[in-house]
Amino acid sequence: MLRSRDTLTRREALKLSAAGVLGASVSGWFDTLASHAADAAAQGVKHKSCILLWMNGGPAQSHTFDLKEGGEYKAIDTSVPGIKISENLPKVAQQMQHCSILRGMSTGEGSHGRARYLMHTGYRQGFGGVSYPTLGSIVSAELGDPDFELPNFVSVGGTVSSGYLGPRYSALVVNDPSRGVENLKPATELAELDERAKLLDEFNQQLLDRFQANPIEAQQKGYQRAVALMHSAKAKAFEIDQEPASVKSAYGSGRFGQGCLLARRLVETGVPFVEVSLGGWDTHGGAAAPVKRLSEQIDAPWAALLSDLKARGLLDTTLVIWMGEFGRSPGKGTNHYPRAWSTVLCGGGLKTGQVIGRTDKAGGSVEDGKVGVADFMATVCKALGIDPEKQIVSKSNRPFRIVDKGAKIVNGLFA
Amino acid sequence: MPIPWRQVLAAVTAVAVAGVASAADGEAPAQRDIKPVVQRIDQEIQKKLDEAKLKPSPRTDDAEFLRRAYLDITGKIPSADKARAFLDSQEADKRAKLIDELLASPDYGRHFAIIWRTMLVKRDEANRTLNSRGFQDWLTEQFNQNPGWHKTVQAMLTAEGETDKNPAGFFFLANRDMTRLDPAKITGTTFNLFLGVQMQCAECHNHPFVSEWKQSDFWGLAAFFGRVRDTATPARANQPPATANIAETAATASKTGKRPGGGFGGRPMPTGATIAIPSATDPNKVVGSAKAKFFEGEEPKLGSQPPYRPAVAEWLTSAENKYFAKAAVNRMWAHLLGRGFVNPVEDMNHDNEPSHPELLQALAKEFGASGFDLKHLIRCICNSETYQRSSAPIAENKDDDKLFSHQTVKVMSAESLYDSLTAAMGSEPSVGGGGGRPGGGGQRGFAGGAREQFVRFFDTREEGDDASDSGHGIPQFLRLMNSAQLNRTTTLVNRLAKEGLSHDKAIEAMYLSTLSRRPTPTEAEKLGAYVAKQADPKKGYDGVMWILLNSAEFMCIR
Repeated sequence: MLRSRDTLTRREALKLSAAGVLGASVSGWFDTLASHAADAAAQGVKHKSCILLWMNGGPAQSHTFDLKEGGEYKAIDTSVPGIKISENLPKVAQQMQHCSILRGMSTGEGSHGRARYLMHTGYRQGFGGVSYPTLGSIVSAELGDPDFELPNFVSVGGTVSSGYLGPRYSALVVNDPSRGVENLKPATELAELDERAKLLDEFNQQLLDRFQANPIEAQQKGYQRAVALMHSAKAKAFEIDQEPASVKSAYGSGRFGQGCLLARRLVETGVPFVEVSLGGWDTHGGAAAPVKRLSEQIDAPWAALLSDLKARGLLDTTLVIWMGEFGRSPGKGTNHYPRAWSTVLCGGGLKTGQVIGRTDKAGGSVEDGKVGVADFMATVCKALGIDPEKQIVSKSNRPFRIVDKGAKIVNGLFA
Repeated sequence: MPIPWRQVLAAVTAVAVAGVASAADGEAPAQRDIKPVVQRIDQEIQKKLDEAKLKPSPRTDDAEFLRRAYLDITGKIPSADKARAFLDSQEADKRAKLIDELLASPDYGRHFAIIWRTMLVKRDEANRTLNSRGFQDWLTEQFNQNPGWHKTVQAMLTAEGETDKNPAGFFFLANRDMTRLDPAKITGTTFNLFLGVQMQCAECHNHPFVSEWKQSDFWGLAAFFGRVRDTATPARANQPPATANIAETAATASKTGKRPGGGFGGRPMPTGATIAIPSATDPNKVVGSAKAKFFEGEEPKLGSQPPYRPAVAEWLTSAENKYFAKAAVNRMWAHLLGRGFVNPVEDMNHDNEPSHPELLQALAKEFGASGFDLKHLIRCICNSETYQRSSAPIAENKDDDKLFSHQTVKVMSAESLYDSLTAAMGSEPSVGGGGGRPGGGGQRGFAGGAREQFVRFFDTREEGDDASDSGHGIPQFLRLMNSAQLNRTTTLVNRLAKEGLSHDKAIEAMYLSTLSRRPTPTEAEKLGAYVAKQADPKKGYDGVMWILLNSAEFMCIR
């Protein structure tokens, strides 16, 4: 039986309503929300989480994770014997035991916009005249707790739309990780806001009693949650300044590093999906100089993220994905190249410390371990505990599979 | 007065629709009688309610009707002055008069233009940089002039020439595959928006739910659009042309299929009104071809050379078309009642029975007979008891969400929210009797350019969402609550303070400005006590405005 998204939201609404018929006191809401969180914790409800490090523009595999003899960079040894990566990623090299490199990516889309969509959603853009949801929205819908105080999907620097899943599952976008969530501070003193919010809630409740309509309830509940977030200790997860200086310096002061630190704080608090993006990888003039600079920007934060997650016992339940929309032509890495390129999967309880897939001597085609878009998406879903074959019926009454038919899981990643 | 749209139509529409008088010729003709239609609506609705043993909710009160009609027809709330005048009026026919007044207001055309522009120019990657302002202005003029929905649709389907001179051509520009006009997208949109049929899945395979709808039916309609191109050439290389130029190009056999201004990928192009069907998985592969064929109809005789679009436009918009009038009626009914006879509104097929088939049929017939007069259709629906019912359910109908026993509580669109906030916050003319036009242009409540930004942020509905979906999440609520922009209620608050009104009067003025009604005694008492506690009444008024603007009642159309 197909599950209708419509039914689901109505059911959720009822569930919310049962929880949401609250007393008039402001503190009443917070108590209820807090007890929800406590219930969830007591039941041991713990989902996996995912951090997507999105390298916008298409990083050259020849200058990062699939170096060839005679290439522009030197390959260095890593913490895993036999695996070599770029000399410009020395700190990541030391975390290789937590990483699996997929060198057989082959995805067939070489235009930025379409490839970005493809790698975020698993579907070709415009396919079937529908907008498909980005990975973060899928994870937020499948793993997120609808009653969670924080958004279930946070993006640092923008992402792709939630498509047919709708706005409930779209990202909360943070543009500047050092500033956190916008509009979280009231325009007046917090006590004054609470007094207003109390009256607002009373009026909303009266309206709801009389009209018994979903949008009124959604609005009332939304305000309760927004006010709760303003009061929530969990919202502190957005304040990276709370971190000790030593941690901050390990992640670095760059925007990407700050984004990684924010991602770790959010995952630690229970947010199931965080995307952090870094642009500049579209190296038409040759990859050598820009990729060196970009590698310096990602090396320390990425390594810090992995060791930090490990130290906190979160790495086994947190999948970290490093990828762009495609790779670059072998050699100097000048042109877009979707035919043979690399992505990296870390942690998440996967079998790591390995390389899966092989390109030929020149790096022009995949010789072994070819991974297509649907294969990749299905593998990520499996790693997160999501059934890639699950069908969702959109509100327009059309059935969609989370991942397109015929996907082959990369079995080597699962012990 | 010159009527540009008519010149445009005369120039580009070689289609004569027999038996339909243009309502726009000469002086405004006498209004078509709405009474029998209104009666029919209420009879048919009552019949189904009786069958289901349901009772309708009572007639809504004046304040609810006023706000509902304003928001449904013009997309924004009334000014406090208007609200006060309507509520205090003793005229028996004030509701009918208000409907006429709103339909005659330029805001009507603007509101429906925004609704249709949003549907016609989908927010997809290819349209990200498309500036559709001119298209929206053209649509505004169309809705306000009201030439008949068939003429508006024909003008789009047959549009020729530079889009800055004939903005109807945006219909094609908004259906591109990055750079080329895409016959599959054009066809999907046409099916969806003008015929109320969902055929996109048949782009790649036969329809999964309606066995007689084949992939060839989709491409049969697409074949009419197979020759339409944007033929504009850039003045200089690597520069987009200043304006697009929509044309049907000659069907000469081409070796490569690569033609100026687009063409059909690298695929070979069939000649005549025939289109190649691309593979679903590899757009460079062709898996078949389809000849131009009306949906569920014949293959018309067409020349070896275009134009082919006038034929499809004429077939599509004729009174005999099985879907055209019904699709428009169903969509308008859903707009005004929160739910269509057929749902989803663009999914008419024989497995998806309408809730009221006779009424849908009757309204479609009336719509055709009126010359596809949208204002007439709205007038008929809005004057019915069915439309004017309270949205509060009663014990005898609380579980009904199909038979229109009570009105639907809808959520304002982002555009309506912007205009209504602006009207409530910025140009409040009631107390001081100022002349500010409520919400006019959105100039006073927000800084210029803020409108687009606001709408982008608040327009969170996606395909398939209905009007009672809220869509807003925490970021939207936080912005409404806490942003400086939306706490700028000083214009109204200062005026109230300066006038030295009593707290009661000030609170009443704020209610009329925001919720278009007077407060109940309980509300007045609670807010009065809240204001009285503040050392500075202005701060109290700011708080009251905050509560009212953030309330579910403000956001909803009930």
